[in-house]
Amino acid sequence: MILSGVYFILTACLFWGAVCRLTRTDLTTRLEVRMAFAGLGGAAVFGGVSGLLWWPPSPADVALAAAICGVQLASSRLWIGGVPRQYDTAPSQLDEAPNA
Amino acid sequence: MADPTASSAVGAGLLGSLLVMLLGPEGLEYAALLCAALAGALWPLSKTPTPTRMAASLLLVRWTAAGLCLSGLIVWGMRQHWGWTGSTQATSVGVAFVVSAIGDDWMGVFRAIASRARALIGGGKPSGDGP
Repeated sequence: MILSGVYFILTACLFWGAVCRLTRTDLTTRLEVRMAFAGLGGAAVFGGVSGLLWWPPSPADVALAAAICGVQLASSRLWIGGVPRQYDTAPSQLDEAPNA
Repeated sequence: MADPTASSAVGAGLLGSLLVMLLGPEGLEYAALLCAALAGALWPLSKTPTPTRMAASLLLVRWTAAGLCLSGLIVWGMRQHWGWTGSTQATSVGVAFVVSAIGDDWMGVFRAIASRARALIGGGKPSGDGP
C-alpha cells in the first residue's frame, strides 16, 4: 500500500511536470517534443491510477518513476524562459541561438 | 519478512475495493474513462499557447469533460445506428481519448469530412484543407 501511495504521488508529479511544459509549447515547438511530453503525461495518468486500482507497482516501477521525476526536476531550469530554442521549429529563432 | 510486491498487491486491492464500495461497480469503468479523456486532452494542450497554468488547467478540464460527455453519446449512436457490437467500456475509453485529443479542432474535422463528401459527390479530388 505504501508503494502504491508513493507511486501515485510520483506519477502525479510527473503529470503536473508534463502539464507545466505543455503549457509553454505551441505549434512552433517540434512535434516529437510535444508528443514526448503528451505521452509522458498520459502514461503518468494511467500509471498512477492503475497502481492504485488494478496493478500494484513493483519497487523497480517506483524507482523508475522517481528517476524520471529527478530528470524532470533537473531539466526544469531549461524551461524557465519558455521552450528551449533547440526545441523550436522556427528557423529564425534557431539561427539566433548561440549553441544551435 | 513479507513479500513487498504481495503486500503492495493487497494494498492496491484494498484501495480498489474501497473505490468500488464508494462509487459502485461502475467506479473502475469511470476511472478508466477519466484517465483516457485526461490523457487525450494533453495533445491539444501541446498545440495551444496558454498564458498561465490556470488557463491550461481550465482547458484540460474543458476537453476532458467534452471527452467524458460525448463518448457516451457517440458509443450509443454507434450501437443504435451502425450496429456496433464491441465492448462498450473499451469503445468508450477509445472514443473519450479521441474526442479529447481533437480538442477545439472540430471545425477542421468537419471541413475534412465535407471536403471528402464533396469530392465523392463531384468525383473530384478532396481539397485537403483538413486538420
